[in-house]
Amino acid sequence: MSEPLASDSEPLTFDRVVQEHWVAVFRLLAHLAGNDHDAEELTQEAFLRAWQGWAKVQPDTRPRAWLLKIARNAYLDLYRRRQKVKFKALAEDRPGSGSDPSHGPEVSEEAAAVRAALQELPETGRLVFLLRVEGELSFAEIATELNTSEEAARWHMHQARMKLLARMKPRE
Amino acid sequence: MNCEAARDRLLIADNPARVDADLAEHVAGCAACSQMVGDLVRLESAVRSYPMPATVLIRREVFLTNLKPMPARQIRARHLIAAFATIAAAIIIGIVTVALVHNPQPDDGRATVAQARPAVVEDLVEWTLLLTESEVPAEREKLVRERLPELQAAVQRADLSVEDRAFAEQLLAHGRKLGEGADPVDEAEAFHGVADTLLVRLDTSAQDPSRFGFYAQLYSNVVDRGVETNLKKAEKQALRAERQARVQELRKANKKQAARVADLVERMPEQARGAKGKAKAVTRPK
Repeated sequence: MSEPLASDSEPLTFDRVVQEHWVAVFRLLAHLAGNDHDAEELTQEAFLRAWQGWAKVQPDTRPRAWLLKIARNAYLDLYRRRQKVKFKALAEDRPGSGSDPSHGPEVSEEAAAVRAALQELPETGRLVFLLRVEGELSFAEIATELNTSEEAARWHMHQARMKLLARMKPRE
Repeated sequence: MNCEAARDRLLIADNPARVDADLAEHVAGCAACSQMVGDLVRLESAVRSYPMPATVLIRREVFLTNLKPMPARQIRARHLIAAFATIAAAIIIGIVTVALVHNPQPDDGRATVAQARPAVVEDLVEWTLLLTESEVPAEREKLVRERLPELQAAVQRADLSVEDRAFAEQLLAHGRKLGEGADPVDEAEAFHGVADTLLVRLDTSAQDPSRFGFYAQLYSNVVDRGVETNLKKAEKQALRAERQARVQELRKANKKQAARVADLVERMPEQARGAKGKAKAVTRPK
């Protein structure tokens, strides 16, 4: 868990927040969007929004959870915009679909299969799984972010893990 | 504890590899549950190991570079936020370079900036990217016919370092070649070479945040619009074995380049990021 924005020592600078959490935000968005191109644009968009809201953030806020929430909203906004205009994208361009071919052979077969399987999870299950695994948020934090209970968050994790395991090849 | 209860607890665990003693005891004595723990660890490891493109760290540095010039006293000004949003949005849609192309009268400020951020190099990179993005041969010919003479003249006039002049000449030659025809494999390879040159520039600019940010942005554009776009085009075509092999080699080379970028960004000294002196500009007030 990351430190709060203001501690007894010295307040966090926005630079440091960017340095420490940029990659985590990108990784969450890449798994949500299913492609790196959208994820890079959304990461920039998320940090711009974060910068705009920086002065109003409460001192006890955990930056990782705060940023991932902004990132998730940026992703949902993009997804809604595309739905609103009835965006007829190719499968690989649609948020939440398919893996990114730009990675070519360097992506392991298993990693690519898991990313594809993630796109098939229900939205809440996918978010809970990613916020826990990539965002490293506690279930209590996830529950707060998703306006649900910790028990419900764990139930979604149960369902997500079960479905993803079913899609993985057994180890030889 | 039976296996069903154990598996339910594993599936909701914070970390399936580190569980309470009673559950750990069951797992240790049960091959099926032990296998499930292994699978869960593998699953999460597969998610975390999904590779990142090289441009992620570069984009972070560009973003940080654009945060730096803000004086502390302007922190709360709403127009500052708007100004920053404008700058960053410009990065997103790539209009900065286009604006520079169409701004013929440099003022004193731009003249000062040009030492560290040679505008003609930026113009040349954008020109080559526009060329490779043009699908129609006539468009390419037009871009060469209309822009090449003015760019050559600008290179001759510009006060460039030896390295920047050599790079500008490389870009002029690259642009001429792009004007002769379209081949995504050739073009991806050529842009990979440009990205390599930019990587050297990044390495030698690590102590100068302004210059580093300038080359970082060019590198990001070249990799995104020059290398990746052409590789994707090539991969959609039915390629002969020899060309497929070239694409695969280039993918490998890109991966190595990405590792060099990651290493470079990690090695950058903190002071080079300009974070210390100007961090107050973005420090959250207590």
